[in-house]
Amino acid sequence: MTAIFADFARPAAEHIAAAVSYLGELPGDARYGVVQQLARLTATMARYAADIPLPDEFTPAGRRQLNPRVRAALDARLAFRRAAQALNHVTDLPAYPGPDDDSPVVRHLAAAARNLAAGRDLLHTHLTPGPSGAGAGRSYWTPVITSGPVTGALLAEIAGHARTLAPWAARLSVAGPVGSAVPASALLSLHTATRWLWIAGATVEAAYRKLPPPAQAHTLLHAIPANTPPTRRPPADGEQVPELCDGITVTAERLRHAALASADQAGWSPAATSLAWRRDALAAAITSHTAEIILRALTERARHLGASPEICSQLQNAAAAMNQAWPAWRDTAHEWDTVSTGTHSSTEPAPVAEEYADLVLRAGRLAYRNPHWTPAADQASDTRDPADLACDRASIIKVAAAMHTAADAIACNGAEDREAARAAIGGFRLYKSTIVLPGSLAARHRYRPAHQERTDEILTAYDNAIQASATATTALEDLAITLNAPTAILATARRTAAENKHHRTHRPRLRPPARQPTAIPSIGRLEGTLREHHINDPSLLARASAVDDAARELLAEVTATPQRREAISSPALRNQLSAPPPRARR
Amino acid sequence: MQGADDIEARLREVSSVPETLAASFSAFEVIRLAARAHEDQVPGLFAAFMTTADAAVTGREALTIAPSLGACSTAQVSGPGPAAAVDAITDDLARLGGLLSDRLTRAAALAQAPADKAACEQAADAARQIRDLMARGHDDRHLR
Repeated sequence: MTAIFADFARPAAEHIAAAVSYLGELPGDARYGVVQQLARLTATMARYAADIPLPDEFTPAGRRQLNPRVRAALDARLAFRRAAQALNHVTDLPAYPGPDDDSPVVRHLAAAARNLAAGRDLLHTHLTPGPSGAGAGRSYWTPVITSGPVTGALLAEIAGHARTLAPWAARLSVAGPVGSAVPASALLSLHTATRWLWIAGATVEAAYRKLPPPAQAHTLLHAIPANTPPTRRPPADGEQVPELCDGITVTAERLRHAALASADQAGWSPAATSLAWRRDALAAAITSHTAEIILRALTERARHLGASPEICSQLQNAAAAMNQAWPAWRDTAHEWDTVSTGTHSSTEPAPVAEEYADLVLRAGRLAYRNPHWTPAADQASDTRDPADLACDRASIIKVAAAMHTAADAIACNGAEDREAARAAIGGFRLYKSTIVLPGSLAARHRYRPAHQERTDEILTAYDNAIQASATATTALEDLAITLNAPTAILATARRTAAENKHHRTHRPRLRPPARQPTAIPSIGRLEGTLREHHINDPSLLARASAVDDAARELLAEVTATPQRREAISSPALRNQLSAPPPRARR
Repeated sequence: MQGADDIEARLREVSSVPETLAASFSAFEVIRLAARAHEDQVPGLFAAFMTTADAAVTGREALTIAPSLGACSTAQVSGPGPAAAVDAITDDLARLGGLLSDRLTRAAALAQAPADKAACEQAADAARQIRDLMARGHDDRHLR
């Protein structure tokens, strides 16, 4: 089972609560360990706060225009950073080795730090590139994680930990037995850090008091899974309805992952061919076809069980939407009958072939009575009895949830295939066989490049199919929310992601003014500013100088590209480039 | 099924690799058109016909790269004929798939050029798939 954020966030909160519930006097060695673990915890919280996408905190002009929640997030980030900096040197002290290393408080704090760090690692699986450098942001959860409500929920949780820890740590920093093992400097640092933790916690609390993040955002945050596909569960003989549904859910999740992975490789992989896209469209058509049969049976069963008219109506809508999806995918598969990326000698399996084969089999075995159903004609059978498909309300929810994940996976994979096909069209990699028209002479002419009209038809077929599948997915989302199905979270995630993408799409991009050379902003002022404030600490001045140098390099790099583009697109240079070389003019 | 008898007769008569390739190429196209024409007729056989058409495209594309294909003219391929009984169609396609598989396997053994041999083998696989997809037992489990 794939780990989710709650698997780490909940234990972290419990361990922090358990640690601060200890109100007795800690032995000296245990205090030493506590301070060290608090330093780890604070550093992790600071990293969480630093991860939150926010505008530049050092832009005074922009800062005035920020809404209170963003301003609070900026202030909290700064406060967490200061708290972590104050305790920075504590982590460099020798590890807590004392005889009280089994102190429950130290253990609780250490466990909290570990869990918080693991939770952050989990979130980063959606944001960080893989070993090959590919995959950054290639997750359906990335827009959820970076959305306003979810980052707000995350910050509220981290700030909550700060508010819990700060008063307890403050007491620790000022009291203690004589001859404590904790160095005085560490206690002083803890005192400073405590103050910043107070500030971080209080700032966020004050900002969120009037408008807290919606409860749904906390649910969504806790449901974020690690960005790793679940282990494949090949179809087995004799799977019953619950196993078939579980298998469909796992397979659909694997399909979503595989689709993204293959999209990263679409530009170069030998497996990114018309054969793969044709098979995907075929599988999408068959799965959607069986999904319609299943949803119609569920509708009948829901009516028989006396489900509310709303549920019956939503099931009917989903079945009707699926009735539009499968013909659209069928038509997409037809488009590939006569257009190809050419001959293929690759023996690599198509990227999502295995997942789609599993999905087709399981959806078929759920829809039809034959437990050994395959697409072969000799395995065709009557559809499953609705009472056998869903014996009660819980079964209806389970089957509907499985159909929801399948529809979502089909829409996601279809969108990736469409993009891969579009890239192939752009690269002039699509060819048309000339033998295709019914009634025409089947003379063989190998292939010729596909005309734009033909490639437009392919993309239109994909657009129709993706739209139809998206409509079916939306209908199933509504149903999942009404039924409070486990996949309701998928619905919330998709809508939050769509909202986040919408906001990002409509944010105007900053561009240099047309026909004006890009001005290099005033940089390299940090060292001078320190000197103006009579700060003469050599190490600080050296760091400021390094920051100035890095800023100059960065700005030079980011301004060079637009300048080059500007220069190339300028009429004078364009003429110069297009003019014949001097020798030719003679 | 329109076109099936002609192409079947032609496949039975082929003796050389180029003839087999040309007849098989047309046979795959006949199968594709027939499967496409019938895929929506019986819901329970939608997957079978869709997958059969897909296999026919795969077989036809495999033959496209065979160097000897150009040496012999191919036959006229008709569009889907009048709707026939689905049983008859699946039987025809299964029989044609089996015959194709047999002829292409033989051609693979006879082929001198490695590209002809590889094309025949790949196309034979697709033909076997068509045969297996369309072959039906005759018990009461099937949909009517």
